[in-house]
Amino acid sequence: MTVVATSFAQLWKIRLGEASLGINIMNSIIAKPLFMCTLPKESEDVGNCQDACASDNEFKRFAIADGVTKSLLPGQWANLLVTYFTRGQQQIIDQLFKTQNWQEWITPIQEKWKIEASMLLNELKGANGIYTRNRYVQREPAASTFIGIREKPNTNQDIWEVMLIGDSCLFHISEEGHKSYLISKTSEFDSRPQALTSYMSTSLHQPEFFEIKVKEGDYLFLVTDAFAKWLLLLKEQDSEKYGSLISFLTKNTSLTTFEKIVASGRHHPQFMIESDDIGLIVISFIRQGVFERQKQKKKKDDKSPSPHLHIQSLSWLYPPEKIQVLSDEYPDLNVAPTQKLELKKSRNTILRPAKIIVIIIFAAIISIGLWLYSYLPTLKTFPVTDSLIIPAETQIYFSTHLDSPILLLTTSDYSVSVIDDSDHNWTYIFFSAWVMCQDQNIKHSILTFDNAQLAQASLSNILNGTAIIPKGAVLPVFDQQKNRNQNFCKVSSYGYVPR
Amino acid sequence: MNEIIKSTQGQYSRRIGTDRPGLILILLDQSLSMEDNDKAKNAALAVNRVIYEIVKSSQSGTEIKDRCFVGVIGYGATVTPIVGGMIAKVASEYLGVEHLIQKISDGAGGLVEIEIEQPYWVLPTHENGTPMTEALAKAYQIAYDWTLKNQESFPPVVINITDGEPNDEVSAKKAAKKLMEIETRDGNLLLFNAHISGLPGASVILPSSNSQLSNSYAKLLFEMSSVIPDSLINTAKESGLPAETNGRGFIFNADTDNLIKLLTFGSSQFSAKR
Repeated sequence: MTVVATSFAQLWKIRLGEASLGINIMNSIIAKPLFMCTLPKESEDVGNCQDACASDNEFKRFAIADGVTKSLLPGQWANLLVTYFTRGQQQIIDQLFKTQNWQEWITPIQEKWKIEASMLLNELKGANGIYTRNRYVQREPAASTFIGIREKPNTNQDIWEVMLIGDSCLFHISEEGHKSYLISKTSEFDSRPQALTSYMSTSLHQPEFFEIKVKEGDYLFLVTDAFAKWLLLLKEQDSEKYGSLISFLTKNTSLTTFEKIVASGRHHPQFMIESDDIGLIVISFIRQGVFERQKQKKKKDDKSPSPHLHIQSLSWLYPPEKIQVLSDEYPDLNVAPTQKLELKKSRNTILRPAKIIVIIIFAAIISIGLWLYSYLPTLKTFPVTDSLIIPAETQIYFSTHLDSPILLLTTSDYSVSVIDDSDHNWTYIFFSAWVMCQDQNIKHSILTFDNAQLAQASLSNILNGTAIIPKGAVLPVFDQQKNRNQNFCKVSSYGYVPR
Repeated sequence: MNEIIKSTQGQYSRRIGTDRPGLILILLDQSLSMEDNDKAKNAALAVNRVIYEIVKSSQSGTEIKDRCFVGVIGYGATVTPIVGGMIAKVASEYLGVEHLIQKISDGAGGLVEIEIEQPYWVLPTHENGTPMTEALAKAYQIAYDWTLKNQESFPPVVINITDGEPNDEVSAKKAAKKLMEIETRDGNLLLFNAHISGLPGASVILPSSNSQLSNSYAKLLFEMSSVIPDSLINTAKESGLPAETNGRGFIFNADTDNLIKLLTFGSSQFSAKR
């Protein structure tokens, strides 16, 4: 149960950074997604997160959107925007950047939003129904800021086209300096950002279209406003802290550490992250072939900078004594500092007989509890061991919203299958999985879902930031680094099915 | 004058959310004189409207999130809490629903008629005197308890809607001073006053000095009002109010339109866009 609870506590909406982009000739620059996630406001659950992000490796596109909470059904709108941008037909996106006719591009998305909204309204009852229905019949729009970037076709892969509206920021980190678009100072944020809206008549705002030239070693950050404002605040007031954070985000970002950074920032006495959802995509630009060589060199060269040095540089965020323990004692950054302190303490403790008896009794109680728990009719866990390949320490969250009841879980080689089970009246399935890599050297490699394959598997829709998986769908997993499916990770997964 | 206002110190920058909930209290004069010129009716209309807007703004998806505590305290024959609770509870505990027909743009240059259900929480009432001191004391009790638990939140906002002189000016002034001393780490409580007369005449809106005010009662309400923090001046302007540095959150001789604007401004942090 603890495991299930833990996995649920961390069911953030994360869609994995799709593999680095396509097959490129040697020495050309390729975009390598390092990190992509959205986090809800503190104390709110992931279902209420109005930020959305998505990417597509085949079409070389990334998008982030921040649904305006006050608008109507903003989460659905933000998700539709990033989905249509990253997965839209090539010719439509070509046309969008060629003509900058964003109104034409957005029209089918608006229609889709209206269909989804009206379906949702039919299900609403009570007070919530009154307010939401009023807003819908009053043609109140959904609104969202938006950044969509893509590699410009027919170039040297170093020109990226940008469509940007509102206070979500695009940071370009390079040796020449750090630029942020369109907002570059904290004072430029206000409570009414420009946004794309779900009705054209109310959409008075115009997105900006521009291009960015990148080179090897550069990074692009797509960031929604709260985290962007925090980065700019640090940049304005303490360049050292700002530098340490940027350095960390470009080298060590993982969901767990990012969550810790955000949690610390939300309570920092001096530099506080505002209460809001957070979305972040980090993309690095490397030369094709270099990454492999760097990895091989790192294996051999013990003098390479250790990731622990980076986390130490964030001591202004984390309590210093915990950072010390983290770096000295426990090289695995994926374990929370508090847990590591507990581990260290327990190692130094002498077990006395009385304690041993207590532990045995406790263990027996736990075992009986677990045994009884396995017979609980309302909750079921599915311990599964299989060979699903996903990035290290990444969690996947599938929430189905299908009408027909569905039951997981079988995994076959390189895939997760979803199987219909009509005998049970279950409406939701949560499935989380995480990777324990046998080979530590591939721990930070990027292994991702291939969106093209997802599309082939009839991925029908995106709702609330989670993939809707039709029954019978097979979701293949793809290792971009070796450009084929691999079987070097072991996965432990647990399914949870509330009735 | 300055003894009353400790000045509005603080950042006034915290966003209201479920992790840092806000508090808004509306003190509604329900004395006998509110009967004249539809004042009670218009005040109730304005209060219902602002609650409705806060509910709408607290919706996240289709859920109403508990981002703030909303209270309405009526004072007339007695000092009575009319509305009180976290916004999700308030949203579901309306007194009734009015069916309203509205005309809205159809998005293609024309108008289309729609019907909406408008919940209401406050009914027009008017009886007896103006126990403003007691209402302010009640607000103090609620706001003080709330700030003990919510020090990281945007400070409480109290909006007083009245048409007449308090029963006791001295004690009302003292109660207002005490109320404005309540604070969170983000700043002092904001006390705004809307004087409604229901009679034609020029309104004095967010004055920065009392020299524009003609009578002692208006000057009293001026002194009982918080200075609008610099960080909220733009918000006041966006609500349609001519805000300036050192302006007070006070309108004298407010018509319904200006009353709604002050309420919109006062509740702006609770209906902020995200």
